[in-house]
Amino acid sequence: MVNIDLKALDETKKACHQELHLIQEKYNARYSQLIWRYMVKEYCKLFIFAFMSFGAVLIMSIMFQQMTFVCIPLYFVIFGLLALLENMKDDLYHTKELMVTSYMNEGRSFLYRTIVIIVFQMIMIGMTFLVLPLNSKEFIYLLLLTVFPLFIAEMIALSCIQLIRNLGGIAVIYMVVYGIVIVCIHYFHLEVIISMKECLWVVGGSFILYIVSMILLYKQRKESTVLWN
Amino acid sequence: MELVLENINKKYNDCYAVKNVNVSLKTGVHALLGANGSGKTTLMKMICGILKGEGEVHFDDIDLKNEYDNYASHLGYMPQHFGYYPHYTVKEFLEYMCIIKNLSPQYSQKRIETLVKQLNLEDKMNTKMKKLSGGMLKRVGIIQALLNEPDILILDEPTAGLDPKERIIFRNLIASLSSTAIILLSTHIVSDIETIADDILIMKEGEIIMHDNYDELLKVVEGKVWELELPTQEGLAIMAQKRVVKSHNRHQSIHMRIVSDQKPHILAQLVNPDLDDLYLYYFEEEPNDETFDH
Repeated sequence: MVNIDLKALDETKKACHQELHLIQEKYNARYSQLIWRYMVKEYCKLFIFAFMSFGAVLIMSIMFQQMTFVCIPLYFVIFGLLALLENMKDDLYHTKELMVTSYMNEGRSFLYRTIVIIVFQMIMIGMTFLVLPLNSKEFIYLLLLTVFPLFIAEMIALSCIQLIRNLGGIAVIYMVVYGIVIVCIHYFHLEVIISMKECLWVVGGSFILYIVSMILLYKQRKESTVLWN
Repeated sequence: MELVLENINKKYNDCYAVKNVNVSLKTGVHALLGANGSGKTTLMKMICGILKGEGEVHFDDIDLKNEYDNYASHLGYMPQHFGYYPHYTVKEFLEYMCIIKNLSPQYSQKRIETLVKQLNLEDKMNTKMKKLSGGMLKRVGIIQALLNEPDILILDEPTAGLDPKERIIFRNLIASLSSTAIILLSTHIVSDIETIADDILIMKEGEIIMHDNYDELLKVVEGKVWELELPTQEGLAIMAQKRVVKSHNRHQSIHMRIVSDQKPHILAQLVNPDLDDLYLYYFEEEPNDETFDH
């Protein structure tokens, strides 16, 4: 017969509950809360800037319709550049050491930043097509000038960050890829030869490719933080 | 609580930055002493998981490689030169650090208030980080390392750039934490170590050549520290030959403190050693170790 000290058992239980309570008080229990706080802290200014400049671009596009296919792509080029800058902030300000030793680490910060940026870019793209009065040809043309090159250029530039830790170099890669995609679209007259359905497939495909490559990059970064050898 | 480092090695090309480090650290203040380039920062970065290398690091049963999230939740790290977003205010920076450490908003607010009060930064909370002086930045760096009440606190040159008053505040803070955390601090300001360190690890060329408490370490240089006052000309000649810890000009003469295995001069008096003497004994080559024969 085992003689159990019930009083000691009860004290242990209370101590465990107390410890659990302390940990729950100390740490964020929900990911959503963490991501929301992180997003507000990191991107508040970028979002305000993006919304304000978006308003200005829309007004210009509505007032001078011939400017639409210059202003809107230019807006997304700059937006993409700022998103890259956000992703390179730790290299730029040498905050990487603090980031790596925190819960967020390099992998999570990359993932959250990418998610936030892509969601925000999708919102802005959606708003653009909702607000602007476009026929189907113009819709296809604008989609090919904004979403498609944006995903491709961002994907390639973000993949290069591990190799080229220099904002200028990454910005050049981004711009060159964006430019090449635009030139190709014009050279092959894609806006004329493809239908709406095909265009949506192209854009959807590039989006999926972007997401998959970001997940792979996240895993790579997370492992580089955790693994030693 | 115990932090165990087993067979830690770090090589850059063919050169060892850290070589065969095997140490076990318990609660208290452990000072890492060594010359520039001796491998202190590399070792600290390896303990923090920032640099890859060979070997194992455990905190109690938590393995750095396999359970880094858990390990990092026990870790506070202050780099020698830490980066920050210059447009953030001190308050914004500390809040940001709390977020990336996954601390809850209520806890973060209380913790920031407590630490800011302790380190006298209350009136700088709304100052931009880029406008802070070196000493203030160090204090912010110390605060961010302490936000999660770490069990392992790694401080790389924490007192460099602090004025005497700030150093006293820092020492008191570290002393207050020494019973609840494993604190490893690197420095070459030996006076900091004398007052707060429970034990001292001396690093040279990547290796820990000595690990003991202050009194035991000083036994190495016992009987090797001398004080001497000589006329200026003769004094200068001695200074060129011996490892001089301190010297002071007095009208026509020079007063010197010398570390030497043998009596450097017939007039030399044996004195009690301190950490400066030990440091010089290990880290400076003797210019010419000939005994002074009179």
